[in-house]
Amino acid sequence: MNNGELNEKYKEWDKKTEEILKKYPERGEFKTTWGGETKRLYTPLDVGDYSNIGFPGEYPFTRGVQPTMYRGKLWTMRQYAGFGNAEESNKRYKYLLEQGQSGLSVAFDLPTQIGYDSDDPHSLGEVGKVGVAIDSLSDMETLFDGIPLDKVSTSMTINSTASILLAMYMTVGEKQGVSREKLRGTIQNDILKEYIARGTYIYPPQPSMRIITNIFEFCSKEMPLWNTISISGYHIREAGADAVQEVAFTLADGIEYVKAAIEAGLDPNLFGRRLSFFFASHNDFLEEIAKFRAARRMWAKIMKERFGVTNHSAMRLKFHTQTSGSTLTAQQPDNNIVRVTIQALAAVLGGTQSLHTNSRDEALALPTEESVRIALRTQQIIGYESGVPKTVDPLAGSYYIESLTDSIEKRAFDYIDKIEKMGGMVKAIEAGYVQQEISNRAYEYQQAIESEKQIVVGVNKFTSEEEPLKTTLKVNDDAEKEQIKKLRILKKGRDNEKVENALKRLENVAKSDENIMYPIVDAVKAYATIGEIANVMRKVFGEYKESITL
Amino acid sequence: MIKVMIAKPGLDGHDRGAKVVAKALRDAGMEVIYTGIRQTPEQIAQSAVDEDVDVLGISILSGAHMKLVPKILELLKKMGSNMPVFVGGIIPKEDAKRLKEIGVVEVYGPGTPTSEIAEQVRKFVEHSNA
Amino acid sequence: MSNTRMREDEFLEGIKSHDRRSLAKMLSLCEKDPETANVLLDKLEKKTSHVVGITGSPGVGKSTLISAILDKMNGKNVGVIVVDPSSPFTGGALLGDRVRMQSHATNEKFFIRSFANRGALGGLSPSIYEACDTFESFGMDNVIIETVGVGQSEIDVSNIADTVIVVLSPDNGDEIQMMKAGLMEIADLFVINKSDNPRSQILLSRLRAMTAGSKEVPIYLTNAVTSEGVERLVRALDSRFFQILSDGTLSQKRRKRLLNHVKSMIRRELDRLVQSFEIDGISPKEMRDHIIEELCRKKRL
Repeated sequence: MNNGELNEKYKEWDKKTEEILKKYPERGEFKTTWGGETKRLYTPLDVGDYSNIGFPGEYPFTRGVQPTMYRGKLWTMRQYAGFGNAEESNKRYKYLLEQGQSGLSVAFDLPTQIGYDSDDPHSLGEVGKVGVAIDSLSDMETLFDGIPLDKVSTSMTINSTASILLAMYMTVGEKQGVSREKLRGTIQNDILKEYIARGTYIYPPQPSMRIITNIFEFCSKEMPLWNTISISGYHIREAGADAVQEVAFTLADGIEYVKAAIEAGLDPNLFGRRLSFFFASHNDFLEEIAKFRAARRMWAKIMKERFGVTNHSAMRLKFHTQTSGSTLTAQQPDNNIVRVTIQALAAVLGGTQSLHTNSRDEALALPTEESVRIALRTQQIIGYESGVPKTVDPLAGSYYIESLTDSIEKRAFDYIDKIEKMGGMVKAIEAGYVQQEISNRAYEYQQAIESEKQIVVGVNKFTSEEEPLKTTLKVNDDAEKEQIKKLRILKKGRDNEKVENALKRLENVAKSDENIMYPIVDAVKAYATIGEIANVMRKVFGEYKESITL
Repeated sequence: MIKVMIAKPGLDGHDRGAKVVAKALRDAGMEVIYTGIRQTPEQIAQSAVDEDVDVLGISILSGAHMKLVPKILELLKKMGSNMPVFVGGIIPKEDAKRLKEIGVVEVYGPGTPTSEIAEQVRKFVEHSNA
Repeated sequence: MSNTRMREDEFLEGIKSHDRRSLAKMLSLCEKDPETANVLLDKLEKKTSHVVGITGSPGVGKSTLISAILDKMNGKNVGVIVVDPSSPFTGGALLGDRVRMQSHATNEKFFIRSFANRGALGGLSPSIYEACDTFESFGMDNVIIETVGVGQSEIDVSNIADTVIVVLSPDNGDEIQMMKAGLMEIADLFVINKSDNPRSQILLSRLRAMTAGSKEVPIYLTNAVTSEGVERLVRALDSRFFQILSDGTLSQKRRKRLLNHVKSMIRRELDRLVQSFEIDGISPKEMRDHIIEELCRKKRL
């Protein structure tokens, strides 16, 4: 049947259906998360030319970044976790390594992420809460004590203080006799999304971008195996963005980083291979699958067409996925297991490289061990029982999936163009534009729930009286006291003149155009604390004040 | 006219809930002062007293609530204020109970309708004016 | 309001003894019951503060600039009034300017207060005169007023401020072209903020060209984020205050402010009367006569 005939048939069918609707109306309106129309039926008429879909492992990578995908190796099941102090975490890492895990994922507490020492007034109540507390090289030495850094790959969720933590990691390696160029791992280092959504920024965007390019440059010379950035849409989505906004804002951040790297003299053909991404997997199953496919195709086009990249592996969008924490409900928490399953399945069908599944009780408190285990089992069931990984990109060719993929791509590129017209992502963030777009969507979503246009099972429909989950994990409160004690001892015992000199040099370099990583490494080696190092840069760069866009 | 302050103590940047509640209270006809993220208890208490708000709402998701909320209450008391204080965020049941014992008027968990919060804020104000 | 009247003495004592909480309550009274506030203000001695108004388009960095100015106000007592718009539909408002000044929230020398404009046009709060008087009675050295900043013609600030700063930013495209009528004329000082943007030099020369020939208005370049140029601006404000104090400009300004304060009081009373009037079966003229009669009878409040 050619398109003309199909169109005739479609119209005929549509007319008949309209008749039926008079008697049996539909349940309501059906829309995408960004408010677009979802049609009753998708046909070949909606997908245009199939030939541009291509093959997995080939440009534009719509169908996946590798030719065999999960037939070769399943995605990496990576669970992110944090523990109060360095000793506890060290024990946990050693246990995980004994169990055969080869990668570590480090969560830091908020003072460490924002450049405050544990005894800073801002740190009250936060020390060791959402991850491990690191004040100086001494804590980092404890954290990786007895762990051979040439044998593991370490992923660190760290952004505005990434330069300091990376310097510490490198120094611990050197003390173990492992040279810099052998170290493997990732730092998140994505400051733009911190201004947009996650909030652990310190300095204004311009100096922050400079620090990031200094890190890029440093690593390309000194630590060639290190992944210098993980460009994250996860937090943007969690702050309330829809699927199109998640893709658009994340890739727009990516464009800004590539521009900065090129300006710093790096070759995008090499540098592009060190980029990775991080997305959320939300509730709308088919939309999410299409989102991952669209993001992959868009990034390949951006790298090739805009930045003139010729090396295919520098065009590939490799990504980590986490199921969406904001979709978890405090009510009827066991339902969250089902939500996580659907979201995890979407990530796998979308071709993720690694996955973190949330635990059912995370809307209530830190997850218990049992909940964490169920979350991991969910991934294993998808991997080993569902049959989904048997073939590559199994949903390709679905009229709806392909049409959604196209439409997400188109809309996301519209956003990117708009941001470009505003002068790029830094300007758009400074103007509060991106934050406002997200905040508006978040408010609309909340209103949709309250008006019951959006049903959340167990919250605004199918509610029931229930016993709350009893066994929620609590964090030890002594961590803060112990950490402050250690910090005091450190400050007394170190060579304070050496610290002063290192900080003075850091200040001078911060004011110049030189690479800031080198004096940071020296300050770290002199046992200057995170707070001391960050304060020097606060003095030179100023502090970012959030742009309130409600 | 009801004047409310929505404050975010602690270091977590998860301000989605705080912003949604601030907007909802505005749309319910109130004047809402939003402090932004990363506020110390001292900043919050002093600002709430200086702005002479009728109600203070605290949003916190980092898990530091048992240190920060009591500190804010203590400071308010020291400054001679007895304004109603409510808390929103991921607060375990037993902590919520403890917070209410020390004077928090209500603790809202995830999934609380904003219309309910607005309605209760009116009640807190009526109650404290009575 | 009986509640308030009972505490009249407390208020007066509190303000005189520089009690911060009394200041907070008094400012609330200015909004809730400006008439009573005016009665109380009459009984208080007023210091002549330097009242500085800051206006400009949205996004030029007014709040950040105020925060940077406060950083350089060593030892001075400063009251800050920030005004945000009320929704014309619900009356609600989001007051978010404070966010950028929060690092000063616990400084005992500074006092920041947010106001909603509650429908007042011109970028200020209906209680702005009373609020400003309250700060002066409290003994502030400076009062800084930030206008709404939504891009309407926010020129009323010149009715109350001794010095008006109009803030411009090179980020805002062709700012001078877009500037609302009147804004250029009320400036006593121009600030080009975000001076790190290379286009600020273009803006500077365009502004110079535009203001050439008319009265000399000094232009300052600042980067409120890094505080560059802010100290110079603060020193300029101080010397200007000294200048207008000695050359008689200040007393002219204060006379104008007094008259505007009185007008705002009459307008408020008038509004109240008009609102409370039964309009059934009455002609506009009759209604006017009644209202004027009522006003005259009320000589004293």
